[in-house]
Amino acid sequence: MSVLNLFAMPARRVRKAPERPVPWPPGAASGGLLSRALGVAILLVGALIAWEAFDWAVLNAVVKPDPAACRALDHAGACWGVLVEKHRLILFGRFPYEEQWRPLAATLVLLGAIGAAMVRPWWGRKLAVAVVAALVAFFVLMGGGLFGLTPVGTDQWGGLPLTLLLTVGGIALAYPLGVLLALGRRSGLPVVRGACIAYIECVRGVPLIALLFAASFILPLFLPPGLEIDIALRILIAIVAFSAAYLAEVVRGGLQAIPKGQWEAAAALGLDTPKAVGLVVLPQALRIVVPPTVNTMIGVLKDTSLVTIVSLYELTGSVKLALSDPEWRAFYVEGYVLISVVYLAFGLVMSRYSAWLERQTKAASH
Amino acid sequence: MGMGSAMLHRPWLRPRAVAIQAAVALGLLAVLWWLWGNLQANLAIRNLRLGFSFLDQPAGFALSEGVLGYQAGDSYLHAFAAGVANTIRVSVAAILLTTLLGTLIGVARLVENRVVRALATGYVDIVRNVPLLVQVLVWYIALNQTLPPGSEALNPLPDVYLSKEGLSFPAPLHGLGWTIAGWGTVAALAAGWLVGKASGRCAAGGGVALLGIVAAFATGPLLLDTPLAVEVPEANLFTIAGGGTLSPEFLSLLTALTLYHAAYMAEIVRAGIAAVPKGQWEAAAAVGLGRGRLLSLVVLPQALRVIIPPYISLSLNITKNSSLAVAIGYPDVVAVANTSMNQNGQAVECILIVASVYLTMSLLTSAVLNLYNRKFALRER
Repeated sequence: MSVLNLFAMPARRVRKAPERPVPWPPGAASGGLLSRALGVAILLVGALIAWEAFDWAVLNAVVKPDPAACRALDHAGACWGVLVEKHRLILFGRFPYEEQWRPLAATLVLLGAIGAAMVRPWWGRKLAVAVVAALVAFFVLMGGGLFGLTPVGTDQWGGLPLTLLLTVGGIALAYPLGVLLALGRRSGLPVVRGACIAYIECVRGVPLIALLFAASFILPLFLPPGLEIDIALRILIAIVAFSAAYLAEVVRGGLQAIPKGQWEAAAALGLDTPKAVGLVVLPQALRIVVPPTVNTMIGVLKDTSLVTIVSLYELTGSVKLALSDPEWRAFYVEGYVLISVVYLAFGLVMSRYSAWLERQTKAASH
Repeated sequence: MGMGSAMLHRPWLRPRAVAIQAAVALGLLAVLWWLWGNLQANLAIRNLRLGFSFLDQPAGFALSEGVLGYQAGDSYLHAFAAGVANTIRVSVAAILLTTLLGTLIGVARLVENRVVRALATGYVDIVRNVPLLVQVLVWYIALNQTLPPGSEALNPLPDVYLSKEGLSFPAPLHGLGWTIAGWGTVAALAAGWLVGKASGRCAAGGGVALLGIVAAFATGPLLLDTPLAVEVPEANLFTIAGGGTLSPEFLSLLTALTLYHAAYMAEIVRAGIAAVPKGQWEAAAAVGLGRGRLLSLVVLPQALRVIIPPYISLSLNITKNSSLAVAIGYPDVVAVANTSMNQNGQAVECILIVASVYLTMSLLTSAVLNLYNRKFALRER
């Protein structure tokens, strides 16, 4: 009996949803008269709505940052002027105005690194070094204090770079932690398993806001007196602690789907537990759960919006900040349309990329 | 030999395993001990003391709405109870509406009509990718900016008013007639369930329940001469008075929660129906079942097996996400805790209360879920 058996639990079968939509109701004549009429009606209404939207967003829109002209519209057209006027505040938050080339450069560096990391043929050690270098560059550009850049405290970071930092940092730190928690939950050692289950269930049982409040108000109480952790870092810790529990459950699903035979084969080859996990089981398990993993990551992106409740001005918070100007308060739709498009774009890129990656790895493993 | 065989059957008792577990346990205890020590030191510096005795003391804040009759000056405990009630109120309403809308969209994603399918798919793709908080804020500001003030309230239906002050509608006036109707309905439903179970016929149970409910509502006005009184809201020059009211905060939170989670519900329903193999549809059609019985006897029971576990965790998510209330000032339990700790500085206790309220709901739900799984999960040979 090897240590391996401590890890192996009976595998559960996963069922895949059929690729094509099931005909419903079955036997209903496709293309029947009623069905066609419904389709045409929806298309007509859709076209009407699309026309109204085009009329509002383009034909009647005011692009000049002129509040009087915008109010004269009386919402018959979009007032994109609010974005022209406030785009720096929305994108970069309260970062000092003259220095805002720095968050712009930092955002581009980070986006570039993410883009490069998505190109499969480039995966390797060099890319890893480049990504780490990009992260360092991000912090130097944002925080300053080096190379003659004026220091800027994290309380003044905001907008898109803060959203990206919390998302990328949250995912990068939560993923390994989640894998460890999932392995712990599958462990045959009752103490380890119990501790992991307790952590995962407790964190998943409370809303993120409770964790954010805890990180913001009471985490300092649990640290040695005099030791102060930066608020942005405390919030990042809360996001990591929260997301890791959800990722752990996703990874556990993958581990459960690996047949016992894989463990036994690894043991037969003479691999000990860490090697069997690292070389045989995890690579397969993680590949199976790519889609739900990416869904959880998109969840992290959306969850970063909550930090505005504890007064960090990432994208959602900076829009609120911009709209607190009474001159522009009426044009909230335009502001929220902008950030919704940003979230939507990132989310769709992530989900389409994961679908593509899944096809690629499937093609490679056959 | 006894020792050896015990270790063979319980591998976690082997020396190495015991050593690892002891190390983990000691490490965790050490970390907890360290945190506890820091907490004591920090509280001493700040002159604070842990404890829940503050719950008896009067809370100096008012809540903008609630069902437990809380008023400024009542105890903190009362305030928290009112907060929990508000959380439950908005969550239950959101769960019901999400179930209806989500099922509709989920089925729409499976119909053969390509336009309907594209519409449902587009809805799901867009709504799921925009953060819930953004949606909550947009609905809240939209209601606040587009609705007229109370003096010029919209009157979409007779006796129903919609304005910045909220949605006012006729509401039952507390009285004996309604009390009998309410408890009578509960009793009738229970009796119907029992009859249905005992006779094995759904229709019998439904009939008993229906008769009972009608009787319960008729008892007051017909036999006891206490009418089912209704209070109708009235518009005067400045505001809307009387009747039941749903605040704009409640309405916008409810709308955002419903529209957001309906997209997730749609995915759950779609996956559940898609998981029923095509052969089951064909087999049911082949034995001559009509469309209604085909769905109710063959497809839905199998689909529900797949749908119910994720549906329950979605309901839990709705409850947890209702905590976004704090962003728009709806007085749920998180908002109450937030206000309380700003007033009395008992942050540790307040966050602990919030966490335990949600944890209790989660653990109860997962217990129910496990029971369900044990009872209904597909047993393979």
